[in-house]
Amino acid sequence: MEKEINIREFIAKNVATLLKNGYVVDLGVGMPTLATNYLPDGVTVFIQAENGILGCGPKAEEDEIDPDLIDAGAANIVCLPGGCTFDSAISFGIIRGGHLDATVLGALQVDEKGNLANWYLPGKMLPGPGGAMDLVAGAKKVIIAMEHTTKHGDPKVLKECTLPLTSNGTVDTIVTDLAILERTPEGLKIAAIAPHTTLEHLLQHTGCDLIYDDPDSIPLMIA
Amino acid sequence: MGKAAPDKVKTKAEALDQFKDGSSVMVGGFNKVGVPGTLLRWLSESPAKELTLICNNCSNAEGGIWYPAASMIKAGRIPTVRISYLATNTDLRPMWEAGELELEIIPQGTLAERIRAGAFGIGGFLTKVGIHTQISEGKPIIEVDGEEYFLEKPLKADIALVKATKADKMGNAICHGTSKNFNTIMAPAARFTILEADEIVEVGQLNFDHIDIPSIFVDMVVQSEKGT
Repeated sequence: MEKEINIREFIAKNVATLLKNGYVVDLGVGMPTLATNYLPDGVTVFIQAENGILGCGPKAEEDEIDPDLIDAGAANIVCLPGGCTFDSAISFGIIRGGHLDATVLGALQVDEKGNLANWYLPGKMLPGPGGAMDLVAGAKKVIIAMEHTTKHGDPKVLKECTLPLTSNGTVDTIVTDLAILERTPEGLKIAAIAPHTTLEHLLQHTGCDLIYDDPDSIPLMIA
Repeated sequence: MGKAAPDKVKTKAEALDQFKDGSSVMVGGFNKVGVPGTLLRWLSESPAKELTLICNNCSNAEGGIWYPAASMIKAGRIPTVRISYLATNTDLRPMWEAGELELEIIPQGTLAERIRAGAFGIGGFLTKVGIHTQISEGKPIIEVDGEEYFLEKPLKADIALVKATKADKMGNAICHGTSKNFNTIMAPAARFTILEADEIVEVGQLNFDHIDIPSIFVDMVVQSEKGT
């Protein structure tokens, strides 16, 4: 359990390095939201939640809970000064209309063409798309935060997704417990590698070829 | 509107009269916020069946605000559900995979925009959301200025059940915080709209600058019962 928490924190920390000052972002529940805890000094992002708020603040203290004010994960939050609320048509106008700088979401599978699958695992799980399909189609930068392999150790980064797709070729960056991968026209490139792994281990646990320059000079992810 | 202002505040019995077999029913809310919990309970107490439910999510957590609707799905009284987020209802996948439930799975923003189109006389809209996935299967792809989109059709309903924080007696309503969600767009998208409000005030007591749902879209106003 402790190891799992560390992996989640490690991924969240590295996602945080990709968020730039002033970004307006929509973050999925879990590791993506955790990333805001690790923003470097001087970096502020504005959080939009698809249920209709721009300017999500921290979780509400007991005495400041407003039952009609939640984020997309249904946490009671406060709205920051300068924040605002709106309906789902406007919220998804923000998302679909390209007004978000980035979104960070989880995934079941991602492939080398930037295809994403995260809404249906037949016979097992049907979370549905919720706002994910809109987010990955509309946000300027799509970042996936996930563990590199499934619970059974199977690769989640593949040559081609086998599950029903959420989007076609819209993923820009994948952050896992083993690497940060950037999509290029030639395929996925290793932008950074985890300090606790080896290139050999990473390649073994990835379901497609990865591009890298000098194996000895691949940047390290932050620990 | 002075003395001509209609009083749309009605009783539970008058609301129940509107629930008919075979109706399509839009229900507002995102997760537990902005959900017309009293109306959902009344709907489940009515004999209405063969319903189509259109909503963002519908949790089957026992005792939760969506539970009356989730129980109706489980009991087969709602054979068709058009929905976006299913993770909070564990009945839906098995029922759908077993062919016991017709499920239309819709990206959340597409659900909102299809309802908006249905509400405002727009014959559908062009989108890239879900293009070349199962979502776009069988829908016409249309190129605009060199970019590929596909057609999503409008969505309307026989009845909309919506929730507001405060309403006046003729149906002007304010939805506080993140409770606006689907309520403001579902209210105009149905043939008959019932609005449930936490607080009902006299006409003229709401600031006209702050209305989220104009009264023209509301046919009936009911008082939200405590505990929903």
